[in-house]
Parts: sequence; structure tokens; C-alpha cells
Amino acid sequence: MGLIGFVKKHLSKRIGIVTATIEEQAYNALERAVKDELKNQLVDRATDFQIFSVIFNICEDRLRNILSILRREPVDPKEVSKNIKKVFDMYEGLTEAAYDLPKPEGLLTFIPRGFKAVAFDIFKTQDEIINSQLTNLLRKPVEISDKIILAEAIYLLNQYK
Amino acid sequence: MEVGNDFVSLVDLLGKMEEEKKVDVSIVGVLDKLIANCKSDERFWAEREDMPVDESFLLYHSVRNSRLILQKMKTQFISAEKNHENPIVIDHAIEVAPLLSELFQSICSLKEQAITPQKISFISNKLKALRNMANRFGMLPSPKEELTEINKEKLERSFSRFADTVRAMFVEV
Repeated sequence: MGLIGFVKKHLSKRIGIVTATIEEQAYNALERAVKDELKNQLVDRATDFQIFSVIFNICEDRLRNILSILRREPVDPKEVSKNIKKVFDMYEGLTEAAYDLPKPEGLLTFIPRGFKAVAFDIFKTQDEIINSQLTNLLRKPVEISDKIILAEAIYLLNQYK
Repeated sequence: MEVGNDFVSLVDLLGKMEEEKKVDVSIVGVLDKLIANCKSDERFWAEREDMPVDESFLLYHSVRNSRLILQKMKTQFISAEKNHENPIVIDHAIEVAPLLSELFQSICSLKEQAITPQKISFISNKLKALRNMANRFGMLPSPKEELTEINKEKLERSFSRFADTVRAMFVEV
């Protein structure tokens, strides 16, 4: 069962919550995804515009249905802004940690000559698996809107404690 | 500006119907004219090959949604008149019409203006507000109704690829 299915099943427990920022960002993400896909798939504007207009509406309809089973939580902007500073600092620290990760090449020093190529592939794969979340920060920095959402989540967590 | 006049006619007629508490079927003709204008503008924005695809799409999408809402409004008026129903549809249309008019006329004005990201964002927000309002009053077509005007096979193919892209986006995040 997916997350939304779970929330629906336990509707009376009011466990699904949302904030105004999340609602807005969900709609923006949907709009961005439709536009990006259209840029990639476009063959004929007249046909594809119609198809993607329908897809956009169907997805928006589904988003509206999902939001209707969630409880909108008010957030205190002052408290959230205090958390935002901490969230920014956290991501800055994580990005620095990602830069400082040992490179697979550096681990080959003590590997016998004939095994270096095999060892390199193993280290690289291990590195990708273990540190993927950190290295992703270098490839794709976290968007400000996502940091705000995390700051709001911290605020709500403190409210529910 | 002809479209502006048609919206003025729509608002005037709605005001008259609200006073009389009675559906006037002449509204169907006004709505038909507006629907025809929307269809023509959908073609206009789809054919603007000189514009970035995301911008022309959003304008096309907004006009198409205006048309879908006008069509739904027309169906509700026809049904209310035919069945001699309580003309609650008049009150609903009075809520929706100003948003429709504002969105449609904003898009029309862009035919002769430079289009900026701010204007596109403004249209996007207006469309969202319009669809939310229309949804409150049952003036949005259901997904099933929307499917009647398109090639289902092509939709399924595009939807499937779109779902893969969205899935990939979230895995990446």
C-alpha cells in the first residue's frame, strides 16, 4: 500500500498533514514536469498540446483529490524562519562533507598492481551506493523551496512532540 | 474588443437572471460565441511556433480550460432550463464568470505584448484560481469527459512516458 492509500485508509486518525507551501510546490512541480516533458516529447504542437493539456488536468484533479484528504496545518513564519537558518547550515555542512569524501583513486594505494582495475570498479560502486545521497548534493543542490518545506516539517514536529 | 463585449454581455445577462431568479436561454448563444472564440485562440497559441513551447503551451492550456468551463456552464444552463430546476447555476456562474473574463482577456492582451516570465506566472496563478473555483461549482469536466475529445492511444503512450519521467524525477530527489 502506498503512502496516500495508507492515509486514506486511516482517514479518521487525521494523520495526513500538509502546509500551504507544500500545496503550492506540488502544483508548481506538476506544471514544471508537464512543460519539461512536452519539450522532450514534442512532435506536433496542435496534437501534443491537447494531449498534455488533458494529462495536466488529470494529474491536477488527482492532486486536488489527494489534498482533500490531508489536513492543512498552519505554520508560524517566525518559528519557521529560525529553522530555515539551521536547515541551510545543515546542507552547507553536508555539501562540504560530500567534497571531502575519499575518491576511489585514493583508496587504490595499497592494492597490488594487477588488481587495481577490478578494485577501482568495486570502490567506485561502493562509493556510489554508500554516498549517493551526499554526492547527489554536488550534482543537484537542494532547492530553496525544499529547504523551506523541511523547516516547516521541523516546526510541525516540535508542535506534535 | 469583441471578446470583451461578449464577456460584458455574459455578466449583464447573469445579473438580469439573478434579479429575475430565472434562467434566460439566450445565454446559450452568448456562451457559444465565447466557446468559438476560445477554440480560435487555442489554434492561435498552438500555431505560435516562434514562441518557447512552454509559454505557448501554458497559454493554449489556459484558453482550452476556459472553453471547457464555458461548455460545462452551457450544459448546466440547458439542463436547468429543460428540467425547470432551481436556478442555482446562475449563482455559480456569477462566481466563475469574473475569473473567466479576467483570465481570457489577460491572455488576449498578450497577443500584442512582449511575454515575460512574470506574465506567464500571473496567467498560471489565474488559471489555478479559476479551476479551483469551477471545481467548487461542478464546472470542471471529469477526466472521463475530457477523454472524449482526444486520441486515447496517443494519450496512453504519452502518459506512460510522462509517468516514467516523473518517477525518475522523484527517485533522483
